[in-house]
Amino acid sequence: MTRFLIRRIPSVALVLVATSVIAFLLPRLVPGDPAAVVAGPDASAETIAAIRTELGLDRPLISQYFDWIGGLFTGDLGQSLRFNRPVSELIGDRVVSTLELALLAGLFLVVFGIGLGVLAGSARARWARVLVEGTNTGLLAAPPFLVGLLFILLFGVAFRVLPTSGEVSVLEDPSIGIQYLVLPALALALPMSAGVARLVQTRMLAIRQEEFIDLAVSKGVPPRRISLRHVLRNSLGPAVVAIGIRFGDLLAGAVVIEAIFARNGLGQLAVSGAQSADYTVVQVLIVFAVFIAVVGQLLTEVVLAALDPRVRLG
Amino acid sequence: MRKSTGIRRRRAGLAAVALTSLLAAGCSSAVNQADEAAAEGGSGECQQGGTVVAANSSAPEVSRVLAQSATNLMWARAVFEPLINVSTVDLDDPQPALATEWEISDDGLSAVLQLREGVAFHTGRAFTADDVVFTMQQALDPATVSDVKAIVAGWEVEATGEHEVTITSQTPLTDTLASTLALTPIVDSETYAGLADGSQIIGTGPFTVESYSPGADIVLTKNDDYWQDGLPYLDRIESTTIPDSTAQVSSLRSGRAQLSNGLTVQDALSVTEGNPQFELLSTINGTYPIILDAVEDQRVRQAIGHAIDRDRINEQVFGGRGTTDGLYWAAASANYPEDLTGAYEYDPEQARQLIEEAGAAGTEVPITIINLPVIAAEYEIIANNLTEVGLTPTLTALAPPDYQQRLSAGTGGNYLSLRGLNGSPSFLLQTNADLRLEGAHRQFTSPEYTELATAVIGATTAEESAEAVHELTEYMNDQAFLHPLVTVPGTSVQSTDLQDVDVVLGGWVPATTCYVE
Repeated sequence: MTRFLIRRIPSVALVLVATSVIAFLLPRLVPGDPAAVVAGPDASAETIAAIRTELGLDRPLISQYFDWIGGLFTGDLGQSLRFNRPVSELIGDRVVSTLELALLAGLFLVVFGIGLGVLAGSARARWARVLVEGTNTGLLAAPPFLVGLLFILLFGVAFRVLPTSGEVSVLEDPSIGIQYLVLPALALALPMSAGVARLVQTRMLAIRQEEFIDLAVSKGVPPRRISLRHVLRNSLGPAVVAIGIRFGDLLAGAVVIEAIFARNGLGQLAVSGAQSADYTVVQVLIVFAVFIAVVGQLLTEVVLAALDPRVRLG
Repeated sequence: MRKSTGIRRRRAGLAAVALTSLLAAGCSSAVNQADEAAAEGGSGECQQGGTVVAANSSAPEVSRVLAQSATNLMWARAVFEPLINVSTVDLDDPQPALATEWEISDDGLSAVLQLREGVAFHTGRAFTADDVVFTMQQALDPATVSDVKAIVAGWEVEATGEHEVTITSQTPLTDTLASTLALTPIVDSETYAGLADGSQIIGTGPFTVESYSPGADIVLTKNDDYWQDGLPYLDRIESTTIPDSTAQVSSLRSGRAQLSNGLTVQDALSVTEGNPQFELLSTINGTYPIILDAVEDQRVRQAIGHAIDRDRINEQVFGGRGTTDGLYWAAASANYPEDLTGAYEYDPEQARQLIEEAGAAGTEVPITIINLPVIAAEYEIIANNLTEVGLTPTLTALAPPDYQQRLSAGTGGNYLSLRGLNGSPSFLLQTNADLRLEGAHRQFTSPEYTELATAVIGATTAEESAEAVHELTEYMNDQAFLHPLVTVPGTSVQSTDLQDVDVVLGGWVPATTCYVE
């Protein structure tokens, strides 16, 4: 496994270097001046020029890039142009919020995705299969923001049983924090879980047609054992890949979900950073997002390798 | 095998029941916790205590406390106090704050202010005249964001006693002193540097800063040593950032927030109409003009004035909350030339005639806007109106950084603007980027405009001022280089459980805000 991981180091490094260049240049290619935002709508050209100098935006791009990259290696992510605070501090204040949301949503994604998939792929009764597939189709058609708004109407206004606005950290107060998380995490995970469920279901139905399943049946292996040990295990590969990819989507989807449930996470930081041309924040968040996606992809490959030795060996 | 499966099933069932019970028990506590944070409302006397959660669409920016900013509307006047407060609904009735009284000389060129004694910063240090001098110096710094830099640049501020300040000015202070001081709250010289990153946020106000999370929220607690006995009533204010208007509605309806600023007019009306729990709260008055820098022919500029249906914009975009007098001046200010209102009534026929006279049928009218929903909706109506009279409007919608950069560089062309109406015509002519003589975003200029605007700024008596404003307004109406379309107060929502939610230039003053018993 170690050699398997070492082989991936060069490609990971290349992706991260290319990302850093793109993340640095992309926000700066968009027209607009962060100093103009800091200066406010009534500011004169002189005030904006003074602020540009103070923010260091009048220095050559290349020197700004290497200063930033040099800082990354020493743990200095730079200074927010808008808030004049270390970017690491801004991210640190929000990362827990987004991670809590992404982790619980990830858990729901796995549970509902595989659970619904197994139900749909195992149900013998026609009504049960129709019910599960109907649920699945409904979820596939509902984007996270719609599910979120429905939850707010249902649980925040009609039946006030769960909080629909704001957040309390689970680390600070687990019992209250988890309640603030449940609805946003469900809104984020449920629509995505439908896609995973469909993969599991399709694969399970295909595996059931394989000859080794017929052999197991003829040997008298109990149906539950066949489902769990043979069908399910061999059906999980595509689902694991999909979940790995979806983890990146969870972070992206958090932007919308954080907005409608009024959570101040990384998604909101990215949106406000982009709107106010806070380059230093946006560039770090882009690199961070790519890094998370790369790690997610690596973990997917590790799980696949564990499930299937052919991947590991070859 | 069967037995162990049964046990597992039972365990799983028990776990599910336990989890559901835990959630159900906990759910009520999370919702109740939010409800209990705010005190119960009713009607009657102010009660001590309670927390107000104030949602704002933009995050606090502590480095901009010397400017009026929507980002700081819900907290800045809780921490930082000016010498004088000016109500947004009565610009000519300034009220004492850290200055107890002030006297302007007959020629209007100097003012002596007596400062309140017994006021201390949150660090415990006493407030003196030196702090006023320091604050005005900071407002002048090129990198400081201040709305009144142009006015303060002509001032000399001197501490003529421990609690007395004398201001001498190159232009009369009569019409500008109150608004200028109202928009320049006093900062602490010892901790001012900490405002740049928010590490130290020290003022003299009724609330002290408990915590500040950049881009997210600022939490304030009652200042027990506040100079006004018995105030503030509230224990705590949480000013939190909720950018999405729908999410703001949700935070109000779910009982989390009691004040909400920056939501769309339509959302504000949806919360307040037929709901006794909430009511609209008017904040800073703003005007929405179109500036015609890229239309050279005066007749076409006048035609555009007649072509735009202001009442439709007011109804459809602002829910009918605004006024459409066609003047840039605040109706609440002295010298408001009432007889010059409505110079450009909606009259498409006259607009067509003017365009025909100018031979401008089909002329392209490029319009630059900032990409905000309200402005975009306003543009849609304008574009429709201009097309109707034979012009060809084209749109350039820009993100705030690009829009503000282009305007400050004078490359905005025709643009839709939004400006606060924070004072008299003289004040606006020196501070407002659409009107001022130096560093304006507007490109139209003429010797007559300069002369007439200078006369308004230089007027020393009420009569002089009224006459000068009248002449300037007539000229502006005739030249039609800008058309104020709608003047409308900023829209916020407040819970009816709250009493005395006063808004002055600079934002909400929460010292007297309370829950009622």
